[in-house]
Amino acid sequence: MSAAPDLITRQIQRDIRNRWLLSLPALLIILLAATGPLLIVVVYSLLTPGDYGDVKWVFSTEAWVSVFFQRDMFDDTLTPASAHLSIFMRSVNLSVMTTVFTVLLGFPTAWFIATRPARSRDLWLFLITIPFWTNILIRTYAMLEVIRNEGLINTFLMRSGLIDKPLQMLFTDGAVLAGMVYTCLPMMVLPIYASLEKLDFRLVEAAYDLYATPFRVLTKVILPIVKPGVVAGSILVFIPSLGAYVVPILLGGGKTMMVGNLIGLQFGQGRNWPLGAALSITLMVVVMIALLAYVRYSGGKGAKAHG
Amino acid sequence: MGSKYAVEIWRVTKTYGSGDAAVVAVNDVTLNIGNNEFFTLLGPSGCGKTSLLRLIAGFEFPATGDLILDGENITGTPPYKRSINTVFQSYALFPHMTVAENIGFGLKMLNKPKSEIEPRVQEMLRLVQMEALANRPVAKLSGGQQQRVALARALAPSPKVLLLDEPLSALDYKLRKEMQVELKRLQAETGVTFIFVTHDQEEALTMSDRIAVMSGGKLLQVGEPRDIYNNPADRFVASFIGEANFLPATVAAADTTGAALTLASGATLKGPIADDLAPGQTVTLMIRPEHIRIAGGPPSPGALAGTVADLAYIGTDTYYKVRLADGASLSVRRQNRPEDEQDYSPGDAVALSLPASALRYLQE
Amino acid sequence: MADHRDTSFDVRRLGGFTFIAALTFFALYVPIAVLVVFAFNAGESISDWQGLSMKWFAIAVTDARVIDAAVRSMVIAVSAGIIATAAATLAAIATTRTAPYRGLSAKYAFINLPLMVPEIVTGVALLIFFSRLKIWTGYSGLGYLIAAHAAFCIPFAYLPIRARLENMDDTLERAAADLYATPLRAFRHVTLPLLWPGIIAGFMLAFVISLDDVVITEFVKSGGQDTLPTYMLGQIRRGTTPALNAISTIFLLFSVLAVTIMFLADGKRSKDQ
Repeated sequence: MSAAPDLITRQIQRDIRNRWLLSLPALLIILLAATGPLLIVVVYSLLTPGDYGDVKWVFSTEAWVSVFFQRDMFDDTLTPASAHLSIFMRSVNLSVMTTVFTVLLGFPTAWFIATRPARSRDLWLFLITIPFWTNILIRTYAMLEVIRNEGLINTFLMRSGLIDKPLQMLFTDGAVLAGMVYTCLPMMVLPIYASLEKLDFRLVEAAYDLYATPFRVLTKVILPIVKPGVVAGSILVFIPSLGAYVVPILLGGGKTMMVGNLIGLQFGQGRNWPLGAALSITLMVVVMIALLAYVRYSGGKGAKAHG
Repeated sequence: MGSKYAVEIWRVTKTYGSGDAAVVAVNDVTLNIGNNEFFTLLGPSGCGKTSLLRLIAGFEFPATGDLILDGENITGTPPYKRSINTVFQSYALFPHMTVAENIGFGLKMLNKPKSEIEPRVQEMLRLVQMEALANRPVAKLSGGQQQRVALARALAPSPKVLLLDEPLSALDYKLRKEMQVELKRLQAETGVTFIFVTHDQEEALTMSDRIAVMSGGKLLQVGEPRDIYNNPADRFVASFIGEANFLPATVAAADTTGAALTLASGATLKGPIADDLAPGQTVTLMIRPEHIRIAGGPPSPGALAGTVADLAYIGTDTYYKVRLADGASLSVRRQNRPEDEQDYSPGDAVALSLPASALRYLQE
Repeated sequence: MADHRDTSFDVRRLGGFTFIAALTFFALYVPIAVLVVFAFNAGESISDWQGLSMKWFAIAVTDARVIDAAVRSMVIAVSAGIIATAAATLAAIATTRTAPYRGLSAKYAFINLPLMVPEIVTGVALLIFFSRLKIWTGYSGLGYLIAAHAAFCIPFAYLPIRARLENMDDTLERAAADLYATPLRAFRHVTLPLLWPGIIAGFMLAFVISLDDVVITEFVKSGGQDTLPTYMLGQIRRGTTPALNAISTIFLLFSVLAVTIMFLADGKRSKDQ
């Protein structure tokens, strides 16, 4: 008697079609100017370097071989590419340490902000947001001014007579780590704060009521509840750290290179685009593995439910 | 009015999800709601009453069946083309508009001229006694005031039917009592058909011309409040509206003067007249706690012997839980009057009389 | 034992956390403060204070290369910001408040994908792709930079708009439909006015993210297409002068302004709801 079911189906179909049309511009822009070209990188990694940059359209696996191995100039034997590997290892190490340090500093900071009275909370949040929005270049430059040989720390130490000649801090792994922690810190504080803001403090009261010490309240009640925030913050810190470019260039100089600089180099002085492409894909793979590990071991479900 | 009924619902079914996960929210409901009626859909949460309301409003479309509004089939009509307005449970007032703008919104969407909208908004403001707050942003209103604006907004376009989705549930007890009276007044004054959804049986009994009781997506009983309370169609209706005692019994004899019933314990009771009662048939008897009379001492003929197991004093009345010889227990409600003798205590032997006129046979 | 008379047990206190927070804020602001202070140095050095002067600001803002780069940065940030916000708004409408449909979560993941790819990788991918396009089309203008910026700004603009849409009570639109508003009119009279703060916040985010970008711009730009950040990167690598501090200070001021606008737009949200 009635055509109602048809009508519903038609309406749902029309709604879904409209939703696809509406999202089309965003999807197209991202496809053309962000993620689509990643596929071309795969193609380029299998070509031969051109003489002045770019590529020759000749198939070659040489780029991939040289990501992992060094070819001996005379007898063509392959030995592990220790230079590339050590740069990758340094990148992973520095990124892990950056993540750890930002959590150690960021969690108490987020807790501090979340426990302020509502009125002043906005101000503290504002103070975290300002560095977040400040150009990474400016923040790195500011850090550079503090730690270089004529910088604030050395000047202070020398004037107070504690040291005679400046400590070499710039162009060390420590400088890169300090710079990355400095630039990434707000990125950790904000998602943890977002989780803490929703924390029901009656749960903390309940834990104290049930004989938990402050330390156990923190580890058994608060941390499990705000874990999604910590996971989100860690992802937001770890991924950009792995691909860091500006900080190691300015604070690490030529000696403490990270993957980002190694890749950049192939498209500049190195003039080896296929190797740069192969290194990029390798970095992408490392990032994906890290992401998957995070999702698996840090309770991706929790992140979804609370996020 | 073009039709005898304001709303006709004919064999309407609504399913959510598909396959094994499918949930039948509204199951083959047929219902006619008259012009000018204050009609209530009553049931526990998840019974399908809100789904039925959304079907009438046009936010959902039925899988099968038809909806007729004032003689016109509106089954597939979108909500913005139905002359039906809703008072939402959360009120859903537009936070970026003033009180007057909210009330005038429907008329504006109907492309009415300003010269028509403004006097109508004023009229509505007067109707809900909110004239002084016309230009207030709605965020600055109290819960009761928001409720009034929601009502005025829904009534402003003169809908044929007004739907109210548990509109009083967010208000405190005193305000809720006030608004119940107010709603009755508004319905009488405007003459609009009200379809009211609630899970509060008391609210339904006080306000409605007729009540439809729903459970599990099905319509269990439709009738006037008195009728539903006194003659519940089944065990669910009996226990959802008011309180009820149930007793299994066997028909010993039945004629045109009444029935003789045997309980599990072997005790006998006199039952009311009913069609289709045959000796040997098992039935379920229902009786309201306030209809049972309790007395001390050994039972007189026709009364049941029991022991007080527990009691609860609630001010106006006292509830007694009385255990019968066969282990079944009955809830008895007795009004507390100053001239009454002392209360019975747990362990006291009592006699319960269950008047035949208060007993009902229920379908299981 | 300490005297707890007439105090309360504060469940919000965790030992040492306040100290670490103080340390964090101190560490965050000292370098920035140093940078700003030395922008006003009269001398050539950025560590040896020689008196107050505005001369480095004068030098910075009259430098043709700085002006050129700053203007280019603004043009890109405004264009990319508008494009990204428009696309993100439409996408947010398409991906919120709906029963899950085929491709919805894929769509959601794809929109956020640029956040998951390290900037350097996107940078070199675009360098490769656009250098081909430049050869094929002969066009090598600002369009490439604007497109690249718009793309990585979309997930940022999408964030607040989507959040606002999801927090928006959809009974409001149902109420509008109930009161005879067609879907288009319901969008115009109810959804859009309530969405504005989210759109403004989304635009500000996109604008700032675009303005701040170094890495992708560094790889995508053609010769003579320096933005302020890439110009500054080149300068810092060559050597530091207080003129750089002056540019940074102006830049910083801009960021503070943008964040303030964001906060105000966001504050309006909490009052609305």
